[in-house]
Formats: sequence, C-alpha cells, structure tokens
Amino acid sequence: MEKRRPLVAEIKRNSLDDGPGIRSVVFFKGCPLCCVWCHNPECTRAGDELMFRAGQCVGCGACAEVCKEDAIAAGGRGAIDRELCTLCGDCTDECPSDALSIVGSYYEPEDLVETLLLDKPFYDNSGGGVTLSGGEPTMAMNYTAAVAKGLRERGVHVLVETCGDFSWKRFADTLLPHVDLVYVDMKIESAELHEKFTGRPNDRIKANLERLASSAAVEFLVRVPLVPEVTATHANLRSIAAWLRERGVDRIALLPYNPLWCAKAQSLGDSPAYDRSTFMSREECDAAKKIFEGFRLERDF
Amino acid sequence: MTARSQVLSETLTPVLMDAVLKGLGARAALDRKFRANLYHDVGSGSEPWNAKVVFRTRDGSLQRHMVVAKGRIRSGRGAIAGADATFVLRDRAALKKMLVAKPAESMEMLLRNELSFEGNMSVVARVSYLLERLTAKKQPDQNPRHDFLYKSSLAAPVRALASRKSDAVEYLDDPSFSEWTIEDFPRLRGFLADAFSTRPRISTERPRLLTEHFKRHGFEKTRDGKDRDPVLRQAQAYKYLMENRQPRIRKGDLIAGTTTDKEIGVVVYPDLGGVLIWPELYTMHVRDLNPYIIDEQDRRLLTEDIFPYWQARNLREVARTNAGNPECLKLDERFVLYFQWKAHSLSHTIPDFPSVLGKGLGAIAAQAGAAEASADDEGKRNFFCAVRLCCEGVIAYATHLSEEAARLAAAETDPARKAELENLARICAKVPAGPAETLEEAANSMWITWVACHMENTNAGLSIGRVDKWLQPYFLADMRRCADDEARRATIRRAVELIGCFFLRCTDHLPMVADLGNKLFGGSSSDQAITIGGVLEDGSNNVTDMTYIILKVAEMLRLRDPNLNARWHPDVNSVEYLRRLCEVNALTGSTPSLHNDKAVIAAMQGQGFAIEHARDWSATGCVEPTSSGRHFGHTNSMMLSMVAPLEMALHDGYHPLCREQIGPHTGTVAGFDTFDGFYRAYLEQFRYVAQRSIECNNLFGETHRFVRPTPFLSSLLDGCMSSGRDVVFGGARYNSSGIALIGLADVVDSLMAIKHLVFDEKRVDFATLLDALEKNFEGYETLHARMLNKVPRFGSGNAEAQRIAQRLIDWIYDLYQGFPHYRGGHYTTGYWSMSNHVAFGTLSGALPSGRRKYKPFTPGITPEPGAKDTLLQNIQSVAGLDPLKMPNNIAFNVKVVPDPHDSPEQALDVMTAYARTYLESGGMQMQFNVVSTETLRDAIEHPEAYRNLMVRISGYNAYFVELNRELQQELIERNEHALKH
Repeated sequence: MEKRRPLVAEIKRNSLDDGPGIRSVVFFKGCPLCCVWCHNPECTRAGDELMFRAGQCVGCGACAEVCKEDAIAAGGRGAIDRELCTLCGDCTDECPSDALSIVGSYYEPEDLVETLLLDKPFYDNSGGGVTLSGGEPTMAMNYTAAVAKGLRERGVHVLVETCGDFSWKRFADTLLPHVDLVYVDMKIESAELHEKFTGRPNDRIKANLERLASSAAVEFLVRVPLVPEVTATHANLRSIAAWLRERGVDRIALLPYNPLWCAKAQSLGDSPAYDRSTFMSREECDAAKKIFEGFRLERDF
Repeated sequence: MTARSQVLSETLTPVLMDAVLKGLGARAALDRKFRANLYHDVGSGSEPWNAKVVFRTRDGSLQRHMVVAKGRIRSGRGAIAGADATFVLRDRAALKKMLVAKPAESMEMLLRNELSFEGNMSVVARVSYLLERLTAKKQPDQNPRHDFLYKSSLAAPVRALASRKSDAVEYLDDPSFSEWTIEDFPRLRGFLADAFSTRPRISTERPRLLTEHFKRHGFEKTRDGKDRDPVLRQAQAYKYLMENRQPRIRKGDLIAGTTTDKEIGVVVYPDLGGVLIWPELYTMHVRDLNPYIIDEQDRRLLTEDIFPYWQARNLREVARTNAGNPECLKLDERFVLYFQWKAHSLSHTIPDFPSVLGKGLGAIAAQAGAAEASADDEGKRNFFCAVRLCCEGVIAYATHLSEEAARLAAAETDPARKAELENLARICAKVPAGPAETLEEAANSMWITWVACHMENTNAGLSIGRVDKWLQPYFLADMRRCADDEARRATIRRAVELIGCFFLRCTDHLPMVADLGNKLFGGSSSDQAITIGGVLEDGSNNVTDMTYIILKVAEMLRLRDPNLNARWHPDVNSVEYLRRLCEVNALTGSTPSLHNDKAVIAAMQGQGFAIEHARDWSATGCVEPTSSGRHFGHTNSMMLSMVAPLEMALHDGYHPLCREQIGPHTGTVAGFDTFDGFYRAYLEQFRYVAQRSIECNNLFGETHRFVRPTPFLSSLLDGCMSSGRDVVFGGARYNSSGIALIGLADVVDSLMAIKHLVFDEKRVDFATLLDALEKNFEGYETLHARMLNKVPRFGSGNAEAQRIAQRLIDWIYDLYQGFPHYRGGHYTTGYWSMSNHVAFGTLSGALPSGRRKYKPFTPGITPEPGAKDTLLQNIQSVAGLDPLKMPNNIAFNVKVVPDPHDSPEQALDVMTAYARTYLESGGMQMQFNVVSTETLRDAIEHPEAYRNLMVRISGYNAYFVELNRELQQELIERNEHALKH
C-alpha cells in the first residue's frame, strides 16, 4: 500500500454530471497539480483539514469554547489559527450547524466498496456506476485499483477522472485492468504555461494521452476545462485542437468555468490567486466551441 | 396590540356588537326581502325560523344573545338558556374582528382558534349569512379567466417508443402517437379552451328537485304520518330528480349528458355539508381562491327554500341531535385533530362499470324487480324496489337525452354534426339501459352512469376505475370490424378523440368548496381517479392499446382531473411502459402518479382480499386502493394529524393552540426519565385522538343509514344485490374505511430530536426544549441549528430514524385494525395528505424537529426537505417501509427539474431509473412534479400566464395558480432535484 493513507474528501451520490447514468463520485484527497482555478480545493492537499463554511455559522462561539489549543478566537466565526489546530475534531462535534467539518476520511477499500454498493440498483437501472475522482485518484494507485477491482467484481461500471499526470506503467499494471472508462484532462498545450498555472509541466500528461489514443486499451474521453484567460484563450484552445486532431482524437468535452469554488477555497483558509467570480458568457462559450468545430462535443452547453 | 387599541377594543366592542344586533333587528322589521331570510318555505306555506344564538368571549366577560322568532330578531345582554348555537370568541378584539371580517377572514380566525362554535353548525352558518348580509355591499363581478396555456420546458419532442409492440398491445405501432398533438384534434382543442375560460357556476338543479320532492312527500314521515323507509325514500326522490332534470348535450360533443345545468357546474349537496356555504352566497363570486358565480335566483332559492329545509336534516346535525353533541363531534369542529369526510360525502369508491357496460341498467332493474317480488323481508323488498326505481330513473334520463339528441339533429344544418347527433339519439336509447357493443356506446354508457352517480353522491373522490381494462374489449371489437388499414387508422384516431371527450366531460362539474375548504383542500377538484395498467385478475398484463390511448389523451389535455393513476407491475409490465409513464409525467408536469402493483396487491391481500380481487384494484380519490366494483372502502373517511397528539404529549394532554385539556394526563415533560417513557405518552395521546375520530366516523356512518342510504351506488357494488342491503348497511362484498395519517416525517424527526438531544446526548433538558418551542426558537438559535443539522432525519438513510418510523407505522396499523367498524371490515391506514399537511400545519406550534410554528408539515410520506443528502436516500428510506402496514397507500412527492440543455431522452432515462429503482425496491407509490422553482415563482407573479400549470399536491393534481399562498410556498420549498446529465 501507499506510504500515506489515501483519504476521501467526499462521496457524492446521485451525480448526473460525472459520466453516464446515475453515479456515485468518490473525491480523493491529494493532487500532483495545483491549478490556480482548482474546482475542488478541498482535494488538493493529501492530508485531512478543517473546513469552515461561513454561510452556515450561527455565531454561537461553541467552537472557541471547546478548543483545547486556543486555535479559534473567542466568538468563533471561523477565526482559526491553522498553525495551532491539531485537527482533533472537538469543534466540529460541538458546532451545531455543521459550519465546521473535517475533510478527509479513511475507508478500508472493501468498506468503501460496500458503501458505494448501496446505490447499485440506481446504477443498474440508469447505466451508471462509480466515478473515482479527486484530487487525483491515481495518486494512491494501489488503493484505487483495489476499490475499482472490488466494484467491477460486483458488476459496477467504473470511471476514473484523472489529470493524466501519472506513471503509465503503474497505471497500466494496477488500475487500468479494473476501469471501464477514463476521463482525462487536457488543460494547457504549452509546457511552459502549463507549469505556470498548474505547477507541473505537461510532458507526462501528453505522453499518457498519446498512449490512451493509440492503444485502444480503454475507452476514454478528453476533457478541456475552460478557464477564462488561462485555458480558454484562443491560442491555447487552437493548440489543443490541433494537437488532438493529429492524434486522431475527435471526441471531447468542454467544461465551462464555474466560479462556485471560490467560496470553498476561502472556507479552507486559502486566498486563491485566480479569482474570477462570474460564469462564462454565452459569447465566451460559443467562441470556445467554434475552435473545436469538427469535434463531437459530449454534452452541449 | 397597542395600549390604545386595546382600550378601544375593550370599550368599543360591546357597543359595536349591540349595534350589529340592533341593526339586524331593524333590518328584519323594515326590509321585507331581508325578512324572507327568517322563514322556512315548508311545503306550500312559510314557517318562521326559530333560533336562539349566543355570542360570548371565552372568559365570559362579554355575552350577548339574539332570538329569531316569527320573522323578527330581538337581542339582549347576557346569555340565554337553550341556545341552538354559540359563537365563542377568544377575546373582545377577536369579537370585533369577526364583526367586520370577510367570510374568508373569519375562516382564518377559526383556523387560528380565535373563534370557535358550539352547537348547531347550520345555525351558525345561517347567522353568519345574516351578519354578512347586514354589512355586505353588492360585489362587482371579476374579469373572466384567461385562456392561456402554459407549456412545460419539455413540451416539444415526443418520441416513438421501441418499435416493437410492448406489453399486451394489439394494434398500435407507435404507442406514444408521436405524430399527434392537441392541434390535430380541433374538437378537443376547443373544449379545452372552454374548460379554462368558463367560470364555474353554482347549480341548484339537484338540490331544488330533491327538496321539492321531499317537501311534497315528506322526509322523516309521509304526509299522512307514516315513517318513510330511508332507502326507499332516497330512491323515490332520486328517480324524481333523474326524470325531471334537464337532458343537455354539449354543442359538438360526442358524449351526451351533463352533470349540471351549467357549462361548469358546482353541485350542491345540502343534505351533507352543502349548508356550510351559506355565509358566502354573496361573496363567493369575488373570493380570491376558486370563485364561483351564483345567479340571484339561485341565491334566493338556496337561502329561502333549500338550506332552511336541510338546516336540521343534514347529516352533521342529525348525528349531533341523535348522539347529544358528543365530544368526538366537538373535536371534529376544532379542525386541529382530524377532519371527517363522512359528513360531506359518501364516495371514495369505484362502481361496477363492467356490469353496466356488459348487461346494462335495464338488466339490473329487472334482476332487482325479480328479487323484490320474491324477497322474504320488508327491508330487502324495499332495497330491491329502491334499486329498481334508481335504475329506472337513470334510464329515463338517458331516454330524455336520446330525445334531445333527435331534436337537435332535426334542427342541425351541418350534415356531419347531424349524423353525430342522430347517432347519439340511437346510442342513448340503447345504453346504459342495454349492453354496449361499440367504444362509442361504451363511453356514453359510462358517462351517463357517471353523471347518475354524482346525482346521488358527492363529487369528492368518487372514482372511475380501470377505464383501459373495461374499454379495451370495445376498442378491439371496433378494430375487428375494420376492413383495411385506413379504417383502422381512423378508428384509432376516433378512439383518442372519444376518450378526450370523456376526460373533458369529467371537467363539467366542481365540488362545492367553502372558503375554509380552499384552506384545507386547496385547488382540489372532484378527484375522479382513473387507473391504468398493472395486471388482470389472472395476473397477466393489462397494458393495452387503451392504456396508451388514455396516456395520449392525458398528455395532450394536461387536466388536473380526471386524476390519472398508473399501475406498474415490476415482473409483468415493461420498462418501455414505465418510461412512457415518465414521459407523460414530464410533459404534463404532474400526471400520472406511479404505483407499484406488486406492493399494493400484497397490501390488499393482507386485508383479506382474494388474490383476483386484490389484482383488480383502482386508485380512489387520490391514491387509495379499492377493489373495483365490489368494495365499499370509503378510503378517505378521515384525515388525522399525527402532530396534534405529539403536542398534547409535550403538554400533558393539553393542546397549546386550542388552549384546552383535550387528551388524558400523561405527565409533564419534567417527569420523563427515558425516551421510551415519552414515546409511550405520545402513543397514549395518539390512541385517545384516534378513538375519538373513530367514534365520529362510526357516528356519521350510522347516521348515513337514516339520512343518506345510497341505493343507486349499491346497485353498482357487488354484494349488495345478493345480500339485499344498501352499502351504508354493509351490503358490499368488501367493507373498510380508510384513514390518511398526516405528518409522519415531522413526528419521526421530532422524536429523533427528543431522543438525541434530551436523552442520549443530554444537550438540553426537556423543559428548556419546550420553552424553545413555545418561543418559536427565538433566543434558541443554537439549539435550533443543532436540531436542524445534528439530528438524523427520516429519509436520510439513518437506520435509527428508519426504525422509529417503521415502529410507529406498525403500532398505528395494529391500533386501527383493532377498532370496531360499523359496517364490518377494517380501518386501513395510509400516509398521504391531500393538502392537509398545510392546513394542519397552520394549526400547530413549533416542533422539536426544528419546524417553525404554523409552517406546513411534510406532504404525505415525503421526507422533510432538510433531510440531508440526496434523493436516493429519500427513495430508499420510503421504499424500505413495509407496504403491508400501509394498506391505504402513501403519497411520495419528488420534484425534478429537467435541464433545458439536455435531451429529453437523457432526462427521461434518469427519471425512469429513479422510478424503476424505487418501485423495484418495494416502494408503493411515487409522484413526480416536473417543474422548476423558478417557474413556480414566476407563476405567483404572473398567474395569468400559467392558468394550466399543473402540480401534484399529495395524491391529487391542482392548477398552481388556484392554490392558497401557503400551499404555493410549500411547493416552492420542496427539494428540487435536477435531471441534468
């Protein structure tokens, strides 16, 4: 098993957005990238962390009273000193409104499988299944593979959503045999810009995409997140389109920017550098779509 | 209230009260027309109305009386002995308010317990009417309704189903008829526009003819002083009504006969609850919700002639007199604990249409005639005679329709219509007297019989049954007579049009709803349930051509009534059929509702129905199963608040809103050491309320035997003809009464909160919790947040909440099964609420679940919207409950919203998957509302653009714009589940 125990940030049931049919999505914690626009900031770090949702706080101050480390200033309301916090969980137990919670739970692989099987009749009747997402589900490749294997043995369709930044050999040896469908991101074509906005170069991602495209090992879908001024630039999208065409990829999904993550980032005490707070306009979306003319677009928007 | 206005109330109220009473006296003395209100028109002459009425505040500090005698009104201070009715006001301010309030506002006062009544409710209604007349001005009429048809976001594409023929379909190649829309049926399009632009009018035809008959021949006794046999009496009056009512054929219709003499008529049943509309006769045409027009001559007829006759003879007052105004009746009139339907209707059953179609009423009359001749006792002889008279009356009405059709045909210049009318003349001469042979004859036979049913019994929940099963043989016969494909196509098209006409005929009447009813049953129509699909008596597939024809009609017309209910048997009916049901539901917004045939049949078998009779069930009124044509199950005999006993258990039997000790002393909260101790107190309070409600139901049921035997309906329920007994005497083959229990999730969530916070975690002591409820959580924000967030709820998948729910359901089932039933048979329990979850909610304080004061309860068996997590847990929790313990069925609401970006295919896939999984997991019933919160909000702002926006409440459909605001809000606050992909 992996050095660090892989944690689950959330299991989202009844998801209709992450693959075919009705699905449960497992969001793992930890990701090799740190994209400036990351939609799931609670999944970036591998360890557990304290989350404070200001909108739910009733201001009772119970958290400050119960904290043994004095990590929460009197009156509460999210004034948390994360240096002092030991993640003991006393404040989350005491919080009456669930404004405070600890993100990150560990499941034994078989327990996770059992939990996910609760909704099997819905998967079966809708052509759905389980989506392993994150964060990055390939960070804990052995663990993810054990879960995927357990699910497949029980007849559940398994989809992996990945950033593509993984060791192909480990992936092919452990996880791939237990996966029905892979969603892989192509964010930025330029290696330099990729590193600037995600913290990592993209050579391994491109190599993995080429292997997926050429191997027919598994069904896959390339997804392009549209982040205004970062990925959704004319130059980047044109480069991605050209790069994909050369490799015979003609089916993609475009994911329009969703600003709702900003509040989540704040609730973890982060102050993100990228801060667009509005949805994309019709025109912005259409401009992006136009660049991908000739591609089959999964789910129009 | 400010100090100044309090002083004004104190001093001015007595002055105002005296002035009003003096005013009444003066008006009676000076105004001849007004004086006419103080007489009964009995037989040939007028008799004075005598009554003593008291008005008093609850503390007795202000008391006045009025005496009506010999056409005069006098009044005075203090109470008076032997009052017929007493108006009890909470305080002087409430009395002042009542004197200046509109009828709708005094209803509000009643529901807020500022006002209550003692004694004869009809006298109360009549006095309220007089007070209203004294102060009311003539109200101008409102604008007519708009004919603007809202279309759902999913209105456009209808796809062909799988090309193969599904289920037991014989002829249809495309069971969803994807090429047809309403525009292809101009006749239906026209009727539909009329249905939405015609304003309902009060029809006095029925009560006028019946009252006329009884005045001439006597009610209790004949003119020469002999006791009248109630069964025979009802039949004689009924025959007179049927022979003398207008035979009307709507212009252009393929089906003859109308429920009333108006285009859309409101039927009055003064022998039941009709008298309660009295105070509103001059305001009902301008009331906010569901205004009815009434003509001046009808007002006068009701006030001076009809209502006075029934004032002491209606069911409620006869029951009161016979039983000495018992406690159970007084509790009914507080509205807080339970609502008894028997005082308003004998309905909620399914007549035996197959007998009418197969052999005809003539054969039933002949059978009754033979049995009458050979009957061995007078009771049976009278009963059979009564059946014969009723059938003869209906046949006479059909004959008059035939004559009317012939008359119209003779005058008709358009040859096509002339041919239709000549055909109708032929059909009405043939059916329902004789057997039907074609679909057109069968549809007319059913409709005329249906009109006849409503001339006898209240148009509230009386239901039509398995129309697909019963009409399919006639459709097949028509198809077999076709020579070629073209003829077959025309026959199928004609079948759609004919069923469309039948559906639209069903919209020609509305129930008489007092403004109080708009509160209690907002937007409800007659709830004429039609049931399709499922299995036949032998277990084989009943999804046929006719099933799909009915679905097409429902899809095109999008009517709230008939209330379409679809049975789906997971082992027998196809998934394609389920998908088509979901599609029609998505296109119409809220119909049909879906039932798990397997679970309902098992539940009915648990009640002693033979398997073939259990399989022959139809939904009744809202969702309740009745074995078609052989079962008098009065499935909505009463609706009971599960929350009221909870509030009583929290207060040692005292009801906080009623401000009265109602239940037994079960201890104050300080005395409960364990959760189980409190739980037992709740059960004891529940048992007390249930017992009173059963007493009340039995009292009304027994009173029916004198006031309201129902021989025509009896002729259409198997068992009565062999036993020679009317249904009110238990003549039907199967007997039961159904209960709707309201507020399950609120009670379970409250019990969970008490268990967790008071006993398990000891977060709060019980007395403090009670104080938080008393203050509606003000100053207790932290505790309130904890209730809402930290206590697992029913519907969240939490095992403990699920256990408490099942334990309660089991206990309630056993309790009711143990009650004696006046007709034999059982009391069956179910969990659906019409709109009473809102009404009972307005009568309840804050709850430990975190629900605030006066807010609606959750509808039916639906989990509270705040039960966390997703629809899947809701589905699994509800499906996990034992259907055998809920034999009167449930209503589970799910609001889904298709994303306009998605293809209807994808949205339908998801909807079908939800429904299929729920039903396969054992869930009994589910109903989708396919509408967005945004649309509902817009409809509140712009009601004129959403005239036909249909929503499902809890078991029945309603037009959203006709609902009261609380109910609209409840629908908006329901969880919304996106159907995006």
